[in-house]
Amino acid sequence: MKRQQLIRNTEDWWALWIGLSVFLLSLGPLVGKDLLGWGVATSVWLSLGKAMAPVSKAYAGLSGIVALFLTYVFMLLIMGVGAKALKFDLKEFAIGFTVIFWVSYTCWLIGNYAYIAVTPDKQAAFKIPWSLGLTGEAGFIVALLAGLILGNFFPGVADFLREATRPEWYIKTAIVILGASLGVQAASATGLAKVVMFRGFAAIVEAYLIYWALVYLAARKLFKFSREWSAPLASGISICGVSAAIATGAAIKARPVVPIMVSSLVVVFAVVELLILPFVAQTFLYHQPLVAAAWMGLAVKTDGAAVASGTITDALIRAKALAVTGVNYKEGWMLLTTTTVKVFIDVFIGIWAFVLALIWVYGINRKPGETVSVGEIWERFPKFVIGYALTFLAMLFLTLQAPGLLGAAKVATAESNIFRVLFFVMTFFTIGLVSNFRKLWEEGIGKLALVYVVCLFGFIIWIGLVISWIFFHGIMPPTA
Amino acid sequence: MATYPETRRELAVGPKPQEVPIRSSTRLAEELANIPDEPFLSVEARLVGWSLGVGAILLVFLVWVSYTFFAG
Repeated sequence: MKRQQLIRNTEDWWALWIGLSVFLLSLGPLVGKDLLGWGVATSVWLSLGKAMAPVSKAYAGLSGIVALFLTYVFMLLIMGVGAKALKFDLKEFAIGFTVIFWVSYTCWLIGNYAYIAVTPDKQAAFKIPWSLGLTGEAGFIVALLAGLILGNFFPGVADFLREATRPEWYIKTAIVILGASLGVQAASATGLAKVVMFRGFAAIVEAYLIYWALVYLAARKLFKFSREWSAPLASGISICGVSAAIATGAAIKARPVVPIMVSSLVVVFAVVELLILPFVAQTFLYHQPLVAAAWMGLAVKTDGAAVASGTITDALIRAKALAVTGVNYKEGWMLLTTTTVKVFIDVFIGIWAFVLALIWVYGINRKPGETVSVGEIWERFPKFVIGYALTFLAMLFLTLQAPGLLGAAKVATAESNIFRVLFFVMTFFTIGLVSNFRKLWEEGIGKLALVYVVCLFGFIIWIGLVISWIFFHGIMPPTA
Repeated sequence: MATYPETRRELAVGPKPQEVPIRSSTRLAEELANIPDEPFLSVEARLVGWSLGVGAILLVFLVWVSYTFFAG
């Protein structure tokens, strides 16, 4: 019983509770109440004074700075409740969270500077002769770079912030909130949403079965790693990074250092993928947006980096498609595809960890009387996925059953999205913070990294691309 | 092989990458450089074979279902 209580008191569960709380508060507009309209919306800007404003017109009287401060206080409070329940050091968490929030927001603001963000079609409106056309999502890259600089050149600062450096917690909370807006979007094209769901599921089943076997084989036969290292390595490289490596480590009863080392490696490579793959997708796959999106879900490891790369890909490809072909794709469908693929991977982790536990208990480390219970699947099931499914289905069902509420539902999700985006930015920043390349090298991670490089660039990226192409080519997002 | 510890902190917040103790670095680097050869068991071969085989069969099936019932 006590163990069950402990298991329920995890970051996973608290991502679910916090995400659902934000979602429920955001539903105010559906009943004529505006509870989160004071959240700060950030626009593309030339004049800093016009960059920030409350997201809802009902709070138009508030200045942008006050809206930003209220947003910070609210996020500190909700995460503080979770931090207290999780027995973090509250003082350290509050200080760390404060620094991370303000640095992350500054990065987001920089990314929204017109010369960086404005797409070519809007240059005239801003009266600027040129821009990088990266959209406001460039703020994610700025945050990641800021985190990388701090993590690698100022490790003391990164260490000072460690209690609040929780990229997985932030992204899981964001994904729960994200479900709502994707549900509203899916309601406008239920046929396409079903196609994305099924094909996303199909793609991930394929990728999982092929990736894992090949990486395990390479680690064991080519690089001569032991089983204890090979299994978490195969799960970390081929599936969903950190969670998969940890679940697999537990399933085969590896020493804790094994999944931790693999997780560190996964985060570092996820950063590399995040910086490269969305731009590759923009260059070569802008005419097949959902192939690009599914590819991000299949190739980029860790929830944070994958969903983040889906966000950037969404922005980059929409901008390029508009500039080159004149087609203006609706925002969010690429992100929906990446998230769907990623969430299915997460669901699969529990099942695969159970399969591995069975094989290790009954086939490899056979000990009399040792058994594995089916309950372990549930124990390893990523709980935040429940939140994502709940918010997605709730908004999809609501807007399909009561089309008259679609407008209010869009206002509600616009308000919850303010917090979702900020959690995303903090995820980027903290991913950078934990990626200390030099330290990992000192810890002898070179040989593990070699397996990663060979597998990732040798076949994972390419198999992921082929599978994405098989299941998603020719399927287009709706136009705006 | 050591068991996977389930301390309150680890269950609550999960391990953090930075928490790999520095003092164990050298030992870990040595371990990674000198991993003893473990024979590739038949159960491992079956795991890899089944995974790839099921993947290949499911690919055909899932492509058929996708293009038949979930055409874009």
